[in-house]
This record gives sequence, C-alpha cells and structure tokens, in this order.
Amino acid sequence: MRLVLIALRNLAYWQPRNLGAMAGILIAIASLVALVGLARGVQDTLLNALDMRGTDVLITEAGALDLISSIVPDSLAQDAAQITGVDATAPELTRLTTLEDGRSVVVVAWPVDSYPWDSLTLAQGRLPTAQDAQTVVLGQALADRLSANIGDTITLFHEPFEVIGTVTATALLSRSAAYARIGDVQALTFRQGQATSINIRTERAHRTATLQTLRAGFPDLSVETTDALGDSYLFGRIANVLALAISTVAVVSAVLVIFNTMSTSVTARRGEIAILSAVGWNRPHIVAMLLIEGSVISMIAGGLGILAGILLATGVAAHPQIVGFVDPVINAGLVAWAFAVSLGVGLLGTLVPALRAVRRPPAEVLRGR
Amino acid sequence: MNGDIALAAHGLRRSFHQGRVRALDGVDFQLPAQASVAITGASGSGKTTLLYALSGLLELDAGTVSVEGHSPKTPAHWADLRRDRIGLVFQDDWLLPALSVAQNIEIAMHNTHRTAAERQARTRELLQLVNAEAFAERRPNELSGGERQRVAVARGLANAPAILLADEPTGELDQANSTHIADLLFDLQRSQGLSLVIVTHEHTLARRCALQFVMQDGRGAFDPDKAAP
Repeated sequence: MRLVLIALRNLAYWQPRNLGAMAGILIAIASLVALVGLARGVQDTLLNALDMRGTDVLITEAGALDLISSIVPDSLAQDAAQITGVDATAPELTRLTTLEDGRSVVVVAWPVDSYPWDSLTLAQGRLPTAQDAQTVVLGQALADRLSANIGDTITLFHEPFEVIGTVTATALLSRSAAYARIGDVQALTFRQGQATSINIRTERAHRTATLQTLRAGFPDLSVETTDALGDSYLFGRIANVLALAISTVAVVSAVLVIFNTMSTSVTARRGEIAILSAVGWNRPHIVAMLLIEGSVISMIAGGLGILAGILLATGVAAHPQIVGFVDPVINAGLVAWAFAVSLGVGLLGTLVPALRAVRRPPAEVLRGR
Repeated sequence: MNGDIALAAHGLRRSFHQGRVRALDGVDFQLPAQASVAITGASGSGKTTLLYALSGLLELDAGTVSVEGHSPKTPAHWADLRRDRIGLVFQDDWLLPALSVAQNIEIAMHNTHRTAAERQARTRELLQLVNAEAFAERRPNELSGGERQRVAVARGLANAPAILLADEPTGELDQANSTHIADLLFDLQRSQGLSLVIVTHEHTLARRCALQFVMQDGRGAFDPDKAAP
C-alpha cells in the first residue's frame, strides 16, 4: 500500500477532525484574502479611476490630506498647458455629497470638452455642453442604484440636476460617480475659480522630462504621477500603513490558526504514530505520511478559503454604505500568496509537531493509553 | 540459530517520576533462540517496561540490549530491527482504525524489499494463518476482541520475524479466545522457530512457556523451577 493511499485513507477516516482543521484554515485564509483584498482595493479604486481617464500627472495642494481636501486655482490648468511635453490639461473639482437616500456619492466636475470626458463611454444620452445648466451624467452603477433614467432629476448639493446621460467605465469609482460641469459645482460649493486638482496628460515620449519641468514650474504645489499618489497624501499613507497592518495581522492570524490547527491534529494521533514506529516504520516515513495529510488538508482548505475570501470581500464591497467606493483587489498574486501561506504554514504546522511526536519514545504513548 | 541468544539485556535501568519509581532496576535478561519465555510478576513490577526496553520502544537510563548479537544505538536502527527481526503484539491490539484488517497487516511490510504483489500475497497467507480471511476487509471497530488480537498477531508476524514479543496478548479476552490466541502463538513458535517472549499475569499461559522470568519491584530473575537459559 502506497504512502499516499495510507494518508488518504486516514484523511477519509478522520473526517470530523479533519473537517475541523479545514474549517480553521478556511476561515484564516478567507480572512486574509478578504482583508488584504479590501485594503488594497481602497487605494487602487482611486488610482484606477485616475489612470483610466488618461491622467499621468496630478497637480494638487502641497501637504493636502487627500485629493478631495486639496484646493488649487483652476487657472493653473492653462499655465500647465504651456509647458513643453504637456499634451492636455483639465481642472477637476471633486466633491463628496449626500443623496436623498442618505448614501454618499462622488461628484467629479470638469470643464465641458476637456479630455477626461473622453474616457467615459456613453451608455445612454449625451455629455454636457456649454449651453447646459445643472446637468449631470451618471456612472452606470450609480444610475442603477438610483434607478435613474435620462430626463430624471436628482438632487446634488441640495439643488436639482437633470440626468442627461449614463456612462460605463472599467474603474469602479468611475462607474459609481456623478459627472457635472465644473462651473455648476464650483458655484454650488462656493469654490468659484477653484479646483481640487489639475489633471495633466503628457506626451508619452517626454513624460519624465515633463514631470521635472512641471515640478520646477510649480515648486509650491504637489506635482505627482498618478502611480505615486497613494504615497503623497496623508490619507494615502494612512491607507498604505493600514493595508500593511491589516495584511500583517491577517497573515499572522492565519499562521497561528493554521499552525495550532495542524499541531492539534497531529498531536491527537500520537498513538498511531507510536504504533507505526512499533511495527518498524522509521521516522522519515511517518513524517512523510503526516506531511501528505497536512498538505492535502491545507490545499483543500486553502483553495476553499480563497473562494470564501473573494465572496466575503465582494459582499463587504457591496454593502450599501460603501458600495461604489472600493473594488477589492484580489489578483493572481494575492491568490498565489494566500495559497502559499496555507500550504506553507500547513506543512510547517504539521512538520513541527510531527517531528516532536516521532522523537517521543513510543513506549511513553503506548503505556499511557 | 538454535543454541544462540536471540535477545540479551544487561543492567537495564529505567525510572519514572524523577526517579521515585524504579521500573527497571538493573535487569539482566536473556532469550535463547527459538525458546519461549514468560515474563511474569505483579502489576507494576516492570514487566511491560522490560518488554518495551527489549524492543527499543523505551529510552533507558542505563543498560544495553542486543538483538541477535547486534546492539542497536539509534532509533533508526531499532526501527529496522522491529520491521525485520522483531514482531510485536500488544495487550491493546493497537490496530489503526482507518485501515481494514488486511491493510493493518500490510502496513507492517511498508518500506521492505517486498513488491506490492508480494505484500498482498503475504497478507493473504497471514490472514489464513490466523483464520481472519472472513473479515479481511472490515475495519477494527467492526471486530470482536479475539478477532482484533488475531489480526495483531498476524501483523506482528508480517515480516517473518525471528523474535516475537507479546504484551498480555490474552489479557482482555474471554477463556475461549484466550486459549485460541495462546494456541496460535505456541503453534507459530514451534512451526516457524520463533523466539517468543510473552508478558503475562496468567499462570496457565506462563506455564506453557519453556522459561519464566519473574519481575518484582523492577528487578527480575529466571524462575529456578524452570530450566535456566
């Protein structure tokens, strides 16, 4: 009888105990995947939205806590447009406001005919024109959430806005935002002549040189590539630290749970280990059999844990209070990492008690039955 | 091998509970090849501890054990001897609950020179020997005490050992099963030339052995009423 077959028969026989071990690992890995995926998603959701609209560089207020709290003159867009290597610019005023249903929504405002509008794909209706007043285009996810159609009126900043179009986008924040003319939002939020940021699209061939020129041209402002935005704002840095802290806690918790679960499972089988030793099995064979069992448990539970984590993160992101603000980032790297944690810790959690168990003289266990 | 010493132990010492309990207190023991020895004594006298020491399952405070002239020094060497030369039968059958009767026997042949086909043939042979063919595919928890003990004997014989050590092999059996197991052990001892050590508190079983080693308070000596080895 092969070692693998013996291990599988043991796994099948000790189902209740193994199911308990699997449940422990599953919960640990699900927590790890969900927490890390959500933590990464909080930051990536904003960056994806910026990246999708083709913005390479963002000019914001130096030392601003986050993108929304930054205030810069919207005329900077014209100044930046004069710099060599700048392909297009657009002032942006982003505000958070509360809808009638009590939920928050991000309102992004640009001048009509500016380049960020090109990143939106119209699903229905049209984009704003210079002749419009208090018109809004809704991301498809927001339109669905509000059951809003073309021609309907919604209330933003306590004022009625006519829905003139719906747009689709790959970035979650873009699908969940409302888009309006910057003049309307400036007037309603008492920010005439102000923007939260200046979006800049650079010529690809001169991107690095253009960034340096922009920094030299606006020394008192924050001039950052969109990739580096997460590190440039206090809230971004807090999000990074939180993501790291949550990831660490999740990994450590997973390691402890898996280690404890597997240790308990092996320790409970000291009698079997002793009898295998008594019938002439040497230590490496006993350890190998236990490792096979541990790896099967870890792989199955790890795989199921990853699936559960994805479902959990998706469920959390769909919660009414935060829907549209975070898209969990659970990529192949995170999946592979979580699986490696499950398998690696499962094997280590089996190996350590297994080595301890096989080193114990069998008589100590056999006498103590 | 007749006339040789199958198992020899000198100055075995082992204490428990920080030295308060001396389970083995300088025990010398010899098992002549193809002979049968009963280790007897009151409960707590050190019988089972001696058996574990003779099979390398116990770490000793002092003393040496030699098996057919070899003195194993490492756990790996002891494991090889238990696989190839020493068979063990325990009072509690200690069968693995996840495996069938046949698999419990076959598992003792793991990591031997035998091919899978040879292991299966040997298993069938042993099942026949202990009259366990009828329940070969059952799990241990589906068997009676006597049936389990027969399987344990078969497992102890799996690799055709030269020495069989049995710890109270009839201890938890009724009279009929007890007699059946005892007959089986002595038949095998005679037919296969086994060197047999039986730990028992049953006089009937002890009397069937050629020699008797009596343990008392961690010390032991051969019964002078029976021929010394």
